[in-house]
Amino acid sequence: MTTPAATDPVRELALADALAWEAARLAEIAAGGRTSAVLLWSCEPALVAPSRLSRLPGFARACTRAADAGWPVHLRATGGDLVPQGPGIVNLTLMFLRPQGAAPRLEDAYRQLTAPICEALSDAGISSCYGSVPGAFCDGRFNVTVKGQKFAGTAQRWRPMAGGEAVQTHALMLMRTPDENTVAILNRFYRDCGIDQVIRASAHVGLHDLVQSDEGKTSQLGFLRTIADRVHSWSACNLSERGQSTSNQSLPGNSPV
Amino acid sequence: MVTDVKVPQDLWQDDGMEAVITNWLASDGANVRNGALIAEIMVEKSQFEITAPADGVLTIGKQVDDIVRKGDVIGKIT
Repeated sequence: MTTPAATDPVRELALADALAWEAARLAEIAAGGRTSAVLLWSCEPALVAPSRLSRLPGFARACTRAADAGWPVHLRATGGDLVPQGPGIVNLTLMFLRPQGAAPRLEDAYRQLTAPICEALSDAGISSCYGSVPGAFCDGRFNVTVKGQKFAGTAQRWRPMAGGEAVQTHALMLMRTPDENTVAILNRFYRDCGIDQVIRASAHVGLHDLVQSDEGKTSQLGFLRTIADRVHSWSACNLSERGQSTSNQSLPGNSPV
Repeated sequence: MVTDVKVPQDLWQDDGMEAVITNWLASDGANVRNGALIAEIMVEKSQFEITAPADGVLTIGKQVDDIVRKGDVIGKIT
């Protein structure tokens, strides 16, 4: 079945454009120009590393070798560790203004980010929970896991502003389980950086492996539409409570979340 | 007058949770302006920006990769 582009809830972007969109929206929120922003997006194959890795002596060589293999390396502002990007991955960026002393704190922000993901999984008959998964890339306590495997990874960035913080939250969702080639690229990058860490493909699971194979595309679209509906409701609620909000603004095309 | 540069108290709930200093964006002895981004700390894959609480000269008290908790003093501004 061919899905009209206008109904696809995911924006296809160049990774650099997506990262620039996030940086611009966070700056706008911190400047008091917006109260929230939402983007559901996907991009070309690449590796994304937190900026702290760029200080490692082997980082330049690791980047060169990854780029030569078709995986250019970009730096990002949120915390965490090295992640792959590409067609089998969909990202959810959710940003908001947090008034000083008010909820949510870090833990609540992760729950707010992952709630629509867990609800969409539940709607598809898949139960999920939070947890660390040894061997998963960019492992963390607030992964969304299914049967002990990592389905989504999460990260945040908080920026102080007058009267509170501008908060960027990000989830990386696996539509397809990373293949051995992707995992080999990640492991070689770590070796080149001198980091003693091994990623295992079996620590992850993609949506297509959680549903019947002949229903994969339909299930993925339904899953992502559910998330889009949930975050749109969240954004609208945020808009009515605090003022201006934005979804997918300042981007080419016209299919908002 | 000396002003402490502190890890904020209200960013996360778990008192036992430890953060790591991932970056100093101003040098020891540098003149900094109130509100300028001077450091970053990370906890639970969350990057927190630390801004200067006053104008003055920064003295770095904790180094990159040092472990810190809520409320810890990581530097001073005089």
